[in-house]
Amino acid sequence: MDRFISLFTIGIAQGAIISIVALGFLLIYKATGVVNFAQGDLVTLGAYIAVWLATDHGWPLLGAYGIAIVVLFVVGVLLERFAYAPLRGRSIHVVVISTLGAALVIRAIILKWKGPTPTRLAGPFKFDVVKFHGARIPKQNLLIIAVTVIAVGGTMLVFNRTQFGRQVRALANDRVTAMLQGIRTNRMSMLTFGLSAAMSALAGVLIGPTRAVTVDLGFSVMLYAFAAAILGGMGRLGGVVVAAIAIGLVRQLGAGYINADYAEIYPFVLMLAVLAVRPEGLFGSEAGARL
Amino acid sequence: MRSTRRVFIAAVTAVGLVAASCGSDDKDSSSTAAPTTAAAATTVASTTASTDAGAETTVAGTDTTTGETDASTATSTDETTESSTGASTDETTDSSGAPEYTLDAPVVIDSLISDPGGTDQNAVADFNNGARLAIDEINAAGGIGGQQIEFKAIETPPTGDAVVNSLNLALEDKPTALLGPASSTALLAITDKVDAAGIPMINTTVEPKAVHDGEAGSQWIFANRPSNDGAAEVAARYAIEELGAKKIGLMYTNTSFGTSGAAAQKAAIEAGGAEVSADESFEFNATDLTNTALAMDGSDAILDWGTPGTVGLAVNTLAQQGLSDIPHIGPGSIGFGFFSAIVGDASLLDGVLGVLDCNPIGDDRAEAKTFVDAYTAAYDTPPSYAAAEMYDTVYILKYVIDQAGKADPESIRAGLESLKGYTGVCSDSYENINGVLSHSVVVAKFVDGALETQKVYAVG
Amino acid sequence: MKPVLGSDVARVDVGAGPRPPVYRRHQFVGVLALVALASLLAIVLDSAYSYGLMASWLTMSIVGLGFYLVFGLGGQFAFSQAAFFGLGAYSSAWATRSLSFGWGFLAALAIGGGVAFLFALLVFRSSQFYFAITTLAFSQIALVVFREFDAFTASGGEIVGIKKPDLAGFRFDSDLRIVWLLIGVLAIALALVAMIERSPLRREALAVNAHPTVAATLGVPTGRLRLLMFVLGSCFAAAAGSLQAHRIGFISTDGFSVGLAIDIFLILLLGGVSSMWGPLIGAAFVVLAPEKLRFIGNYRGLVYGALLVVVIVAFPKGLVGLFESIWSRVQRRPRDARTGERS
Repeated sequence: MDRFISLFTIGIAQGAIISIVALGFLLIYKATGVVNFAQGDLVTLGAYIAVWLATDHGWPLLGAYGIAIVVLFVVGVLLERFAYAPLRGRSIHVVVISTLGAALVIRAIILKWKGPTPTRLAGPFKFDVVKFHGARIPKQNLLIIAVTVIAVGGTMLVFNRTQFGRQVRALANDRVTAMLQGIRTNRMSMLTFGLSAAMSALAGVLIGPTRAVTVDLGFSVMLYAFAAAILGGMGRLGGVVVAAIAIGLVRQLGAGYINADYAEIYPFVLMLAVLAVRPEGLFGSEAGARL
Repeated sequence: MRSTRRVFIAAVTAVGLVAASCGSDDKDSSSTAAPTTAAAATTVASTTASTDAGAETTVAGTDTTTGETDASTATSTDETTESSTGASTDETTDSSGAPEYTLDAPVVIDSLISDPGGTDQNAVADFNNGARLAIDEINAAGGIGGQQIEFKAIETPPTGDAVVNSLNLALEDKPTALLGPASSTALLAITDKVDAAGIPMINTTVEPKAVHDGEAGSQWIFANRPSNDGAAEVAARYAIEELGAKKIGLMYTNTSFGTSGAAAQKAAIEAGGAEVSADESFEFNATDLTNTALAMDGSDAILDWGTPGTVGLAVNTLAQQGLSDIPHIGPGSIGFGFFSAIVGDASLLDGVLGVLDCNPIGDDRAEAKTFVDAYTAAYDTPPSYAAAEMYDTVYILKYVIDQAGKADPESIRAGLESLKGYTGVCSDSYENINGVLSHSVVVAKFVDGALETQKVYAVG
Repeated sequence: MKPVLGSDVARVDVGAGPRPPVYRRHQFVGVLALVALASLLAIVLDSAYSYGLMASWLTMSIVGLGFYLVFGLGGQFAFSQAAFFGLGAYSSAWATRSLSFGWGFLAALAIGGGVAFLFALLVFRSSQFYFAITTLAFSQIALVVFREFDAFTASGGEIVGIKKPDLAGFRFDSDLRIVWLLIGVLAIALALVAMIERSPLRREALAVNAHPTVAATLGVPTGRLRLLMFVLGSCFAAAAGSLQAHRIGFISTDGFSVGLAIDIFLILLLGGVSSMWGPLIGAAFVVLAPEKLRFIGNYRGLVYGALLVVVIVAFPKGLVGLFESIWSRVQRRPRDARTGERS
């Protein structure tokens, strides 16, 4: 039983990280229709900035995390300005490839700046655990879950209850009409990219302490985030979060109870299986968004 | 954008790229240091008289022990030129009696190991720097057979068909010998071509398929690291014999490095009368090892055959699960500097054990100390076993050429093949067995953040 | 159902005057010219290094051509090309444990094509973006399966000692002979693509790309077309994988990772996404750049990324488009009034 609890909480925590990244990705997608392949590398960049501040220069942790998030907001805006805005009128393939290029550039910058050797980001809890029915649950995982709940709740609130959220939804529905209605689409794009990048940074500083920080940190999370977004149907935020948690659980429980060697691919198999039966995803309404 | 502007941009970029690629030769930092004085040319191979009286007494009848240790005292340049001082009259004719000789072309050594700063993310500077230190010393003392050594490090990706391109590029230099690669996938991609080219190659992997009678083996390919299975077995033996463990938990990556090491450990555990209490494999880039750590509960010792990243993660995870009291033995790669950075907390690092090829910093022998000092002075950072091995490898090549009096591929190959009892910094008894030159490992433990040697073992 | 954009239109006399850009000519001449050029190179170059580069170029051109079918014609964003390259390599290595190279090559085609077909069927009804992500998932799954499925691949996904190719007793055991073999296979691949280019398939594919709904109403079988292009393109990749495995003699999972998938993207984009000659130019760049520009060192990622962005922004038609615009400028052909393109 304690093993199950351990794996379960890890699964939830990992799913939580995936959901933050997926939400960030979905935010951009809904507001601009862009598939942002640089999402994973933004996570990595956020973690590395925190490493630079906290590990290399000894800043207090919360300060380092906060700065990383703010810096990534700016990076997100820059990304929008350089990789998206100049390509506004072009086909969506072009924009996607441009984000792919941006991802390579970000990754190369990180490599050049910090080098390839793995490094470490400290967390606020070190190795403290909470004991629960015989299982030892790292406090960092609980922190991740708590922060995710707040972040997701906040995002959903913003999306559904605020002016900003309404504008984003309007943009997602029909960009041209939104412009006609006076929505400042330029500013909206920049804001959503910035927010999405900030969320990625949040994810980065949350998972950083749980593993060695390398340039590949964000990449695998991004893949699972894409899978979560699709599994959840790309439409409803809640659906995506559920899908992300499912992915985290499938991976951990699959590793623990089925076969650890194939653990990485259980979420993808799940995604393919669901898509084969229901091409619009679990909670999707349209038959998939047109790229 | 208007097409004229596009054409312009394209033209500028093209011109820029072409100019840049023509402008720079990919001559890497060849460490051809000029010989200190011309007089050095008259003295051959084991150039320097030994300043170390202790080492001198071991000269008689044995191999270039002194030759190798002396070279590391590169600072004593006076000695290098006047090798005809007193007791060292023997030295001029090379400690093992090989006649003086001259080579008619420079010795070319190409390294198929990338320096960091290239496209190989995992490149570590130790390999090439260890080689460079040796080459600089030898060149300063007059080179080999009167000729300087020309060294070139060719960037080699760890995998893919571009490895073959790097090899072909190296072969165009008509090298005397090849060093590396450091990655076993790169090695396996080129074994048949090296064999066809007939150039001796000393690689720094533990790839079992590339030994002389291995699937991808060749008589031209040697390895300067002890076998992975041997090192893994030592971990098991240490746990049983020194730590008195009866129940041993195994954890390892699911690559051939990990699975092969684990298999060797299982055999050793059974032979030693202990039992395997856990058997967990994980992916080499695993990000969560809680599962694995939980399985180790109840073991007397944990043998962890992973990567520096996973071992570091394991150290932390075991601490989280309250299992950090169980002795944790990892593979040699924990000897690299960034491992302690990965673990993060110094209090967790202490007590972690590893089976390293050697531990130069913790080695009391004179040659090791002089090497560590020279390396630290040259590169601002203490050497790892990788640097020591490459340093030794270059000196072994010199020794072999000296013995033969010539530097053609077959002579070098034959010399390496019959290498026996050679003392170096990393191992004090290099010997060729089936293509593997190094046969000793060291079990070391982190104490106060630095590795302390616990015990030296010989492996097959 | 016979597509409207079909044979009737093809018989229109397009001899004189400006013709719509959707028609192209001289593909077979181009194929012959390329084969001649490649043969010349093979004869003139004489070092193992050059042969190695040329063989890499030829192999990647085949993969790129496959990707042209999948993405350029089929319009599908797919990350699976590298995975099929790997699947072809492993299939061929597995089959040639006991059979000869010819069978290995066929096995690569069969297994690659079969898996592509089944996979496409599985996710058939998904939209384009979903499809793209599923191909990403597929490539991850493939890598893990290569690594773990020991019966098919060896332990850890590393296979050594793969035999050199041989056909009917003629062994391709020197670098030069392998280059000839690759030229032969590339010629066949180019001929196939040329045939597709000259057939109604191409026009249908372009129509489906540009206006899928309209094309569907005109009776173009959009789904089947995409499926065909995907399977065919993946077969090209598998064939190239088989050749690669036998040329190098060793394969491992690292050789088929996402990095390769991105390189394949670059090959097509740099060369020109809408031309069958694009992959050849792009492959030349991707193979030669790391070699000739070794001094770039770890700016390589930066350069590639920036290049990707610059190319896509400034040169959507890639280098081929650049040449075409220079060429038509030189020829001073009149512009098409509506589209602004020269014919």
